[in-house]
Amino acid sequence: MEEESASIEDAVVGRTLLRAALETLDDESAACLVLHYVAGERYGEIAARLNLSSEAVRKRVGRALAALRRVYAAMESEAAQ
Amino acid sequence: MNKHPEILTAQAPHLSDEQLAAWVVDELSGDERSAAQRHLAGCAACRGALAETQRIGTLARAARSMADRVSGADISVVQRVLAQLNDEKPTTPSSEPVRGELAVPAYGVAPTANRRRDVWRRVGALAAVLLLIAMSALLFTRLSGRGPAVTSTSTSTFTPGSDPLANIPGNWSQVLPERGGISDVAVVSPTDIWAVGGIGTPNNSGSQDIVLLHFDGKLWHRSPESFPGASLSSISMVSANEGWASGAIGVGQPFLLHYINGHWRDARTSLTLPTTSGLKYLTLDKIQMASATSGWMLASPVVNQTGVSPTDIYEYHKSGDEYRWEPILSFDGVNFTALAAVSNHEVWFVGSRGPHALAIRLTVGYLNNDPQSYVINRDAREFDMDALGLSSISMRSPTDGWAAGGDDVNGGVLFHWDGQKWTPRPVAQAEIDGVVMTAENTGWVYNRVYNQGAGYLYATADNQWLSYPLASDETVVTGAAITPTTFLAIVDSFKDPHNVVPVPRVYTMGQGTPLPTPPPYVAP
Repeated sequence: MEEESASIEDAVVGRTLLRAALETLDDESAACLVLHYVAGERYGEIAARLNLSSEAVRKRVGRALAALRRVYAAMESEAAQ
Repeated sequence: MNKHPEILTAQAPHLSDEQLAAWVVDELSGDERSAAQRHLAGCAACRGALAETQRIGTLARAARSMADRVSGADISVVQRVLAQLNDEKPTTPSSEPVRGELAVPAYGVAPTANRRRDVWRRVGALAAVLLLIAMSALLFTRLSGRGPAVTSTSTSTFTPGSDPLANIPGNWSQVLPERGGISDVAVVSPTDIWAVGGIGTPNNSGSQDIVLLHFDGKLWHRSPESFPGASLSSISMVSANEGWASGAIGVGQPFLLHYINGHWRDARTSLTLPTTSGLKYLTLDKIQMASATSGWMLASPVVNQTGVSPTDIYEYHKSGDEYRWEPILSFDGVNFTALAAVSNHEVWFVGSRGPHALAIRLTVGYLNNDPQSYVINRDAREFDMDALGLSSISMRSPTDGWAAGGDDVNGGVLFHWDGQKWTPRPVAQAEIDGVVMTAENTGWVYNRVYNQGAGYLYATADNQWLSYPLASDETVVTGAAITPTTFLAIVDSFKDPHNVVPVPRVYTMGQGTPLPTPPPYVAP
């Protein structure tokens, strides 16, 4: 996947975001989060690695995104205060 | 024509997180993708969620780029973390309280310890390392030398300082989209500034989408709202919490946005279209609010393809929860170019009828003198001005106003209104496109020359004139006063006429080069 130049600030925010989201997820969803959002693997690759169907991976990535968005919203509202 | 896609697709469910996640990496099936595309076109909320999803992806990759840098540097940390993973992870219940400072509800049911061990074995070493590095707070906090912050929504490396004005050029170029042009700016305060415009198509045949940028005193941010085919030409903020922006969408159709509760919303349903038969096009060129309950717009209708296009005046009226924009006046053969609201009761328009410049004052009376009640009378008075045309007006009060314009043969004109009459004043060199007065006899005038340089920016204070340096191919596109002594100019270079690259600059009264009074006229 393409690499973009990332600022230190984004990296710190990204790490905080991942860490908080991972703590709220079941392990399969957490694994899907890391493999998809951090390692950049596609659904098919993750399915093969975790011995799951692509549909199951898609559902878990969806759960991972829901967790990430909840944390992101909490961080944004905290930053706004 | 589908003018209000929001309404037509309102029944369609919003995109789920699963669909949003799949959309950004193109993992949706063809049918699902086209359904999602249709929904996104009409749903600002889902477009916002999509922008957030993309932003989260960027942040996660940023964390990874940091992990990449670290892993090579400190293998022993990685090994220790891996060992920790194997020992600890299976016995750590996922429903344990969040250790960080963020209270986030736990999600899902904790699987059994055996199942966990199995999952992490399947994940493999690569992702496990990335995961643990991502979670290793101490490591990264030490590396970056600062705690987490979430104020930035761009990948800019610009570090804002404490002076908002000095931050204005800041991260602008990272936020402005390619081929993004700016038409208008609105300053609420030095830490609350909006800029609007449109994204040109590669062949300059129209607009791809709106440009809506906000400056918060530190950084510029691009608003996530997307309206394909739309462009914004004017913006007027009532307060930090409310404002309006107008423009066009598609082929000459009206476009209107309302900012309220922190979001820009499609406000086209508040618009009453004129009933003129044969009306084909109507664009909303200029908007100015006097308050949250009163405002006016200049609209350009085209009755038929051969017809002369006059300008219609739209009036905004809000009473309780009810609000509407209605066409109130259309002057035969008058082409209005600018407007300036003085109060709920008074607004001025300038323009021309044929080769004669004119200014029109509209006064509005309300039942019981209450602007939230009914309009009981309107009175329009016309003033002929000795000029070919006027292009800008700035009203400070009912007894202190300025109108400016001119033409490229005779040069600029500038008139002052004292409450009784308009009087010509010494004037800047070429025609004036914008006048922005900030105090008595004090303000800014600028000139933009379309598709070439040679624009200028002058400040005037008590008949003294100052000039501010612009490169020979630069021109001021638009501008607004930030404080009584500072001016935000959007400056564009016309080195490449097919690729506008507007930039914001801040000019300070008193720092310019003095000019003779009146400034000499130099033919462009």
